[in-house]
Amino acid sequence: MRIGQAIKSLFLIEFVKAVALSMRYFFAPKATINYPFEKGYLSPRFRGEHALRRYPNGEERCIACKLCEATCPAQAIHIEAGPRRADGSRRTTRYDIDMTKCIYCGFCQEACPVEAIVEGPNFEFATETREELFYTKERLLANGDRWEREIAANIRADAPWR
Amino acid sequence: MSLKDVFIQIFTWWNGATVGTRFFTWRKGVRVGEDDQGNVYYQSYDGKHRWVIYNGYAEASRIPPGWHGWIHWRTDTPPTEAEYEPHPWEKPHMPNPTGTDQAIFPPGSLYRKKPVPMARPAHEAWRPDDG
Repeated sequence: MRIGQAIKSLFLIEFVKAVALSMRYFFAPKATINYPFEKGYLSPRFRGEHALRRYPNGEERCIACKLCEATCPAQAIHIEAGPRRADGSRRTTRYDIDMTKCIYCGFCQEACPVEAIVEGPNFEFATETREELFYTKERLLANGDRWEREIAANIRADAPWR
Repeated sequence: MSLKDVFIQIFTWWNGATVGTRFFTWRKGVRVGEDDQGNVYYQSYDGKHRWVIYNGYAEASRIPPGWHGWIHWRTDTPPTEAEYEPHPWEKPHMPNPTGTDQAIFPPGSLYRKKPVPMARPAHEAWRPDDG
């Protein structure tokens, strides 16, 4: 026991072991990626920034049924419905999401009967001020118009499992 | 290239790419395509790495939809080869505008240069006469 201890002290066995371990990890393949030049894997089911979608003819999908507002566990969504129009459809006059309350659970897009509100693939919407995170209907519709290509591709990719 | 540009290339990572990334691109990169902002997309020979060299400011939210799916590995087809007919109402991509003049504030926000009157006041002030 004591001789073993002496040999360890004399030859600095622990130091050598520690250096060996360090060197092994020094040359091992790295788990990190070179963000923002390289980016990580992202599922089609990823729940990022919200967007309001349109039908292919440009008509907005949301019919002001307020199911998303009702199901939202964080109560982040606020909707005001407009009067019924001549063609019998109804639209929102106000659709606000407080992104500081949102917990990105995806219940709104699960509740939506017309796939109007979706959580898109964008996660790089951090802001400098709090107020920029209070999204209005215009902002959400603009998001939908910008990200439609990715949103449609994601819904198509996930469709076989729904 | 002036001396200032050389120093910017070596010591900053937010202008284009770092020297290390450029070296990696030169060593392993296969050019895949370019988006309409001039960002150039690369992948390695074995296809295990995908990356982008930004044209100017290195800001991750500059990657437009289409390339976003490719660089996040949701699809293996780069948008230059994919068949996609954009709808007439689709808008061009916009990077995250926060901190710039284009930052989007809700109506009624005091950060707006020209405040937009709200549809109705956010609250009704209490007056002593109301009891």
